[in-house]
Amino acid sequence: MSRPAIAPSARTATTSTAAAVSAPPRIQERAHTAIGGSARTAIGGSARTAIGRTARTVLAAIACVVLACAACTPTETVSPVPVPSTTSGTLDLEIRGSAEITLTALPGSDTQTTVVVTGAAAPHLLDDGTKLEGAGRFEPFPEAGTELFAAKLSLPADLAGPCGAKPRAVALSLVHRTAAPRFAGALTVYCGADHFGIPARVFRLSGTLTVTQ
Amino acid sequence: MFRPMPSPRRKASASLALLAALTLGSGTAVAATEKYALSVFHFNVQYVAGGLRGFFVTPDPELDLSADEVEDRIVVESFEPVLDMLAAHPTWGSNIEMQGYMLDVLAARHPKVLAKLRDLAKSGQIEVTSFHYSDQLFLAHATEDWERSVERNKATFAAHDVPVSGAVFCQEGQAGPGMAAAMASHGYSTLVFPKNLFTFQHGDGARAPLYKLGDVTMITSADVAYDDGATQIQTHFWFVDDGELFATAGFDPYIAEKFKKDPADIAKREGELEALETQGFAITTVGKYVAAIMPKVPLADAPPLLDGTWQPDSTDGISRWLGGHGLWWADERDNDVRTLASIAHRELVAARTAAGAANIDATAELDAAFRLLALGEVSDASGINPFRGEIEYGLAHDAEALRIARDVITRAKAALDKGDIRIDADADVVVSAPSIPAAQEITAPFDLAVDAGDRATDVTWTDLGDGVLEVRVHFGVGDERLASVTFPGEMGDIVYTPGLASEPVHVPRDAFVFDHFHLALQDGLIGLGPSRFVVKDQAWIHVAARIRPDTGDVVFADTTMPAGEETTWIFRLVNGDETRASGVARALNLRPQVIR
Repeated sequence: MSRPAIAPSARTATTSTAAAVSAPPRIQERAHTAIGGSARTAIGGSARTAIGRTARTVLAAIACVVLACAACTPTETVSPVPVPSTTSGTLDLEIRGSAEITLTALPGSDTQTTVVVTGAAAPHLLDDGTKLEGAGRFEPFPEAGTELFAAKLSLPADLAGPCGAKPRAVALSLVHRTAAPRFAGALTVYCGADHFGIPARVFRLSGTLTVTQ
Repeated sequence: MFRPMPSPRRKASASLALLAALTLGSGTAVAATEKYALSVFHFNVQYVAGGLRGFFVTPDPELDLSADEVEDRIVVESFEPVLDMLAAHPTWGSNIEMQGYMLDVLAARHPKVLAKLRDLAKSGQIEVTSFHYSDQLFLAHATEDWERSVERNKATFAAHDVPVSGAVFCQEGQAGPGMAAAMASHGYSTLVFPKNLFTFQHGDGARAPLYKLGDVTMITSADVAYDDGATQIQTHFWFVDDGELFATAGFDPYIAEKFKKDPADIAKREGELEALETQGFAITTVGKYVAAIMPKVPLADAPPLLDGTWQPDSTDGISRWLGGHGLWWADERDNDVRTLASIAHRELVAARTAAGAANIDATAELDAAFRLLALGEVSDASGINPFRGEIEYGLAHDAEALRIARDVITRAKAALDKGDIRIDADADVVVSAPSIPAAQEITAPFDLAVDAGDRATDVTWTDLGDGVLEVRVHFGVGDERLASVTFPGEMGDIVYTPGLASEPVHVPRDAFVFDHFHLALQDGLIGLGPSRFVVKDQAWIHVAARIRPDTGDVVFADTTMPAGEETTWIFRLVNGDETRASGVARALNLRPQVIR
């Protein structure tokens, strides 16, 4: 429901910026002025800092713009979009944890995928230090200006966990706007061998990855 | 230091007491009046979608509750106490609204509570109202997503042996004219239209006790005093609100340490209801109420109605979920959430077509992915005040649905062994992908008003042929969170496709009292004039369209555009009739063609 049940005071919801902590009163003032006015951000552009725009990232973004120019025109793309050679970084996992991710291009649209998980708070399902490795795919959606990095990974059975004697199928699904460093998606754990069904858990991922060609 | 918001529940309590006092003092007229007391408990087990982990800055095991833990608390602290109260008063009826997913939660972890619910529903004492499997923003998304959701919902209720009421009330109080046909086709009978949404559109005034809306009936959640000289009916809604607030003294699940069953408060409320019952009110269900009054009152035609949500004043309509920001503004990114759901929808319907063409069985994968999509379309991922965890809940589920869909397409392509293919989800065919000629950039046919603060903007037009133009509005990197594009339009009827409808409708622009209104546009289409329409490309832009009674202009605005990120919005402009425009919208957003 997300109703404003309480004014933030002693505790305040986590945001990516400290500045946002003091934003609510201004935001409430603006609640009925969604359109019009100067409406310059109350957070002072601090969200930008979360993007971590290093020079390298900017160069990579420019390269991506060039390479993925088909996504910027009405022309539909038939030919495969080149897979970035390496996409890597650490994403937040369930906000408090982290996932170190490396996606290395292989011939075609394949990638070599490595994910190291910390702080999932899901013992025997996705333990601290769990390393997932395997083949993945780079899946462009040129008509939508979006790209998906996907991988079907696996973990052995853990009798103490919610999957019991079943192996764990772990799906990585990471999306971003073409050329944008910000990614979001999931590590989804299924009980069994199939990478679909009713998940045991969908772990949220978000943050910035560095894309190099 | 906690400062509870003004509680609608407390307001309801006060009005209940006032009503009781008035009724007690009204003398002999009371005896001749049929009196009904109704309620709709809107429960949402996805109240904090994804759980409270990360809601507070400082990690605290007592507050960092997982999704399961929050769901469990909703059941134990707020849901079961309501059932227990009703069970203790067998003459009291009520409508308990919930999503099918909540039933799965009950079955998995709270079977005794499920049994209580089942017993109350089967006895007829309560009606379980449910119109969607997930508490999704269905007015903003493809009808097919809801169709899959409602079918799953039916199967879920059947599997858990709980009867579903014919009454409909929805997450965020979503309601609109397109629901009538959808309801009728799925066996629902009566829409409970939120009183504030009705008033926002038509102002104050007496409400009819019963309306006709297409092939179903409709009541509003407003109190009614009906008197035609022969029949007097008094109807009072004693509770229409988040069910989670009833038994917890108004605290909601975000306030983990305060969200607890409050026996004293429940007892107080019980006393008020007992007094009401003593005064002659039948505390009953919507279904029984409608059945009782239908032979006695005229069936009024519903006035023109637009899609909306239940508190349009405080949320500025549905815009709060489609471009409007809430308290945790820094992390909010409504357009990302809603466009990713739309991209996933497109890929899923394309995957179904591809699987069919390749003669592979992908039923289980697609079913699972549509379930994830329903969860990802949860309203709380983009409003009212989504915190980061809820936003990412939507994105995570949508991304996983998208992955499964693409996986099916990859498998289908391998089976077809055709290389690149064109998947036409509308015609349900797959052909070898032809080369596509590049569209030509053209001179702007008219100016758009683009407002984006410090962001550089660039507008380009291309001619796609057959009277269809494409316009791309690029917003460069900047700090500004608010961006808007205004399309000039002509006065005349409001033409759009309501949620769950398949064709555009015409609604008189002068039929309403509001200053402005926001429409979700599930297929992206809205009229700019008799022969000009704009269609959002929902893979790029899916925020609300703002309309006004005094102009035909249409404004698309996003106040949650992430600072420091560039963005592109794409629209199609259709010069032609609405059938043509509707076809463009369908082929773009609902049943697309894609090359894979």
